[in-house]
Amino acid sequence: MQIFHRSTNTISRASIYGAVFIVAGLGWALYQLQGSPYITYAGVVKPQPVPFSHQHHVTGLGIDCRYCHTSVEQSSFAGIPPTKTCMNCHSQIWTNASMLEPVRASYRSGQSLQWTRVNQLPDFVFFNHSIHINKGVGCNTCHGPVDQMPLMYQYASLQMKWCLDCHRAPEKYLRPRGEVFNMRYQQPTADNPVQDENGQSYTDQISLGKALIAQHKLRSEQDITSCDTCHR
Amino acid sequence: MDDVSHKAKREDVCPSKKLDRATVEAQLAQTSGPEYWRSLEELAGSPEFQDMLHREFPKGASEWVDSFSRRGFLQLMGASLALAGMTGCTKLPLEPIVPYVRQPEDVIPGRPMFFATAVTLSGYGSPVLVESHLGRPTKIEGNDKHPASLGGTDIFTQASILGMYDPDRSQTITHLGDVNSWAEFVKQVKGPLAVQKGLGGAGIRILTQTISSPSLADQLRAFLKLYPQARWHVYEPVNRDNVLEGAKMAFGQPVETRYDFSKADVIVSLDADFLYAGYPGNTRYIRDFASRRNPDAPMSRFYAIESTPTSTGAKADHRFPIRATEIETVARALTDLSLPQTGIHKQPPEAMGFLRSIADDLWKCRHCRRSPTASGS
Repeated sequence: MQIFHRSTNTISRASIYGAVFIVAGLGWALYQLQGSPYITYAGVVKPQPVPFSHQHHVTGLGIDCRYCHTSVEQSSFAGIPPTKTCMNCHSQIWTNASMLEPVRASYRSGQSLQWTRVNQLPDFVFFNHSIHINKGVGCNTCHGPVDQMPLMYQYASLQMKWCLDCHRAPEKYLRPRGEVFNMRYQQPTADNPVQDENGQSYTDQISLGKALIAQHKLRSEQDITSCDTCHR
Repeated sequence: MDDVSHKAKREDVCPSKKLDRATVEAQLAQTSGPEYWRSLEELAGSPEFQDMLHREFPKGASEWVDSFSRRGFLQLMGASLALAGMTGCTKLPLEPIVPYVRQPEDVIPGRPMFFATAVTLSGYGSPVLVESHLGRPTKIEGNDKHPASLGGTDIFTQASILGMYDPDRSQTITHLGDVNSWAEFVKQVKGPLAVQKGLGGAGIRILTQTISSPSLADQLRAFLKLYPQARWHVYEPVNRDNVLEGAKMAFGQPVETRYDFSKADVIVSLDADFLYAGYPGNTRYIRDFASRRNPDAPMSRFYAIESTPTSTGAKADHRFPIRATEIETVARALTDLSLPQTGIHKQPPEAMGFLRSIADDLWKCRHCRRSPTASGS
């Protein structure tokens, strides 16, 4: 008695020989999913209690990063401003804006605003802002064009390979310490030379970066790519 | 398991048959001479207690009734280990980030703050540095700039941080078990205090631990001045009352003796565990004592006469175990044998031969620097 249709033979043959490709295809799909914004949140705007615009405050009003993120130069944590920082200005301007009601409510009641963390690393990764700032990694090298973001989103994937891209070759990204908070900074070109800490001009990033590695006293590539640098 | 059998089993494990007074008195009437017991059950000699006494573990504690096999356990653990790395491939859940409303000055989020303060134990303060993260104390270490600590702490000070997170720590005013407010307390206590005012406070009793805070002591004194008939009781489970009594006998007032082991050439300890936690000043004494234990420099010599093995005795050059009751005899004998101030230097009696070397050392040291003799309570 014929239980299966004749075509089943072809399908079974194909699947036996194709097993390797099916498994490989599944693996590839999972790998793609793992790196997709669905998992990493790269480029995804998360819900926030107040639609705070970095574009307006940074580009429009010219407020420095450190006015709000006060501890970025001294601590592992850049710091989220207390409600008081918002109210420094917003007790004077836009005092009736309904959008800002959660801020005023927080200030009245003493209950903290609950923001959603945008750049979130897993708990098994140790990250310190201050060391990156002090070694000449610009804010927008990792956080992207924050000055052009009406709503904040995570710029990079924050995956380990992304971290290692810089840790293996810091000279590709370093800039002079004075330019770290400059959101309009351009890497050196022939038309736009950049001076290192000693005042010497460079017209290409790699030679500038190599000079800065020495001047900022970066540890060796071996040291900063060692597992326990980040996984403590 | 139904409730009844569960209860039965519990009583089985821990016999809690109620004892009435008549039974205990009847049992006691049959005894003669000193008898010791550890619990009323033992005193009554109940069969339940005898059963528990002779079984090392209570019933049910050592039985393995789970049907889960060893093989099954290993299979599951193996699979868990093999897949442990997969947890890195999850999507992180959204995480809230909660800033201050008004950030305190000098706080740098992500970095600890250190506060110099003191932790008290039986009225003695230990100078400490407390590490604090966003207002939450996490670690206590000795204050290295304070002469009584020099960076050291003892186990009680180290463990005192846990008291901050003790669920039983009182955090608010309670009245008959219900949370109440300070204002309510003041309101409630005003009436009875007004009544006591007329009586001079005869009905007021204050119970505290040892208080060495000058401001609190001053407040209590002011209170007692207001209510002269009131009584202030101080209780400390482990106290140094005997030490203070001794100081009163020796010096006429309850003074604290402070030893300088860095200057001592000969140290005799009479049951004093001065290198161990809880002994006032032990953190400093450890440093001072150690400073004279360098074999390349003039060393001190340390005799420990003690009734229990202690870590102080373990550091001694010569340790003499004696009964606690004999400490006084030894102390008297020692002053008889060698009192450099009065020029006495005798040989000890046969029974206390071990005192000879101490007496000789103390005599030899009559012209050298001070030789402290520390004593316990």
